[in-house]
Amino acid sequence: MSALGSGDLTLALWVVIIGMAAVTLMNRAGLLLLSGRFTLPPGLQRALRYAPCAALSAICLPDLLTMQGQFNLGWENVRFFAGAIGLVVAILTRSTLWTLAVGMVALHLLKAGL
Amino acid sequence: MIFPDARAKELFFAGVKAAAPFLFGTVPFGVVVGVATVSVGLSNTAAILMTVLIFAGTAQLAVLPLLVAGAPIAIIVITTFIINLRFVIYGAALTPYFRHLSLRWKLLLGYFVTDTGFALFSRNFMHQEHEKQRHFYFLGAGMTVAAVWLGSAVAGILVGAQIPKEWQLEFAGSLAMLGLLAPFLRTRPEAIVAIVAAGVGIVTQQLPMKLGLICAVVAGISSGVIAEKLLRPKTVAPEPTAEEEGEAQARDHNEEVVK
Repeated sequence: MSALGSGDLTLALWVVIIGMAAVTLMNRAGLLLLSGRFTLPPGLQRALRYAPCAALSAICLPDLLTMQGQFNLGWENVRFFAGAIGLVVAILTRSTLWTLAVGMVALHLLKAGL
Repeated sequence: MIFPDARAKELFFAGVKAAAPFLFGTVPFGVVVGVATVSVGLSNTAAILMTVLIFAGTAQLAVLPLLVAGAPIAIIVITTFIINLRFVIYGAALTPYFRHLSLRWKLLLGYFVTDTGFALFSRNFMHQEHEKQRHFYFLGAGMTVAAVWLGSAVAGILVGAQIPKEWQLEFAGSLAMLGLLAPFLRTRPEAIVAIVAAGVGIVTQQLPMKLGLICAVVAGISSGVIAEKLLRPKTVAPEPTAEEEGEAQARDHNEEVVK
């Protein structure tokens, strides 16, 4: 069963939101509340640096590089090309606004072109 | 809010002022996260509740595709935990400075730990031992980020609910994630992490319950640790301190902080 359901606040969606809020607050305040009774080993701290990059890549990139679960970089995969254009804009301009504007326009133009 | 003395009030507003310039980046990001949240089908109430309680845009953005895919609750919560692990690094760096405060203060400051707030505090106040009230600076910066972030996300939620489906604004969520990834791709171990995580993610996509996601994250982090060892010059550099580690992380995650 999907937690999203109809999008209304079902019990499952409440559990998702409360769960997300709880782990986030734990990450933020956990070490402060323990006030130094527990410290992170430096090696682990360095490894944790890679977590956001790894998670963002794992969620976002496979979704753009595949269609119906198959690796596909053909022209029919407009999300890949629009995403690639958006990524280039993001690297060059470092601006959220430009990335979104160019990426969204690219998506619609590519779709209209096919 | 009641300030214990004039210096505390001064520091609080110094924090507010210091955070203000960074909000030009926060507003569009907040709006996009708001729009993307309702574009996957969440009701306005659910979306606003999620935004306020979690107060972490990257994680909110990242779980939306998982919600759509019907991923199990445990996977969604674990993903949130992983994306927000950077806050643990900030917490480790902040602990020595807030150790003397009451439990209530620590919880309050904990909620307001943000990339921007951490970077500002560590740059300006970490070494000001004589400033007994410097947590007010941290609170001022954090509350400013929170107010603007929540305001723009709610605006995005209300606007997004009116936008027709054909505009495909859920793709804006993917673009925003690419925008967050972009600064990572300029440094070597991080670029390797991204490639390995993406590759393993594709290969394991068919695993049940989105377990492939966890495999991809673990593979990505491991490859980063290995790449760092292999790429590091032979002369042994001193171990970075908790503060340096936190600053590097804040820089990676929120580039506008260093501008």
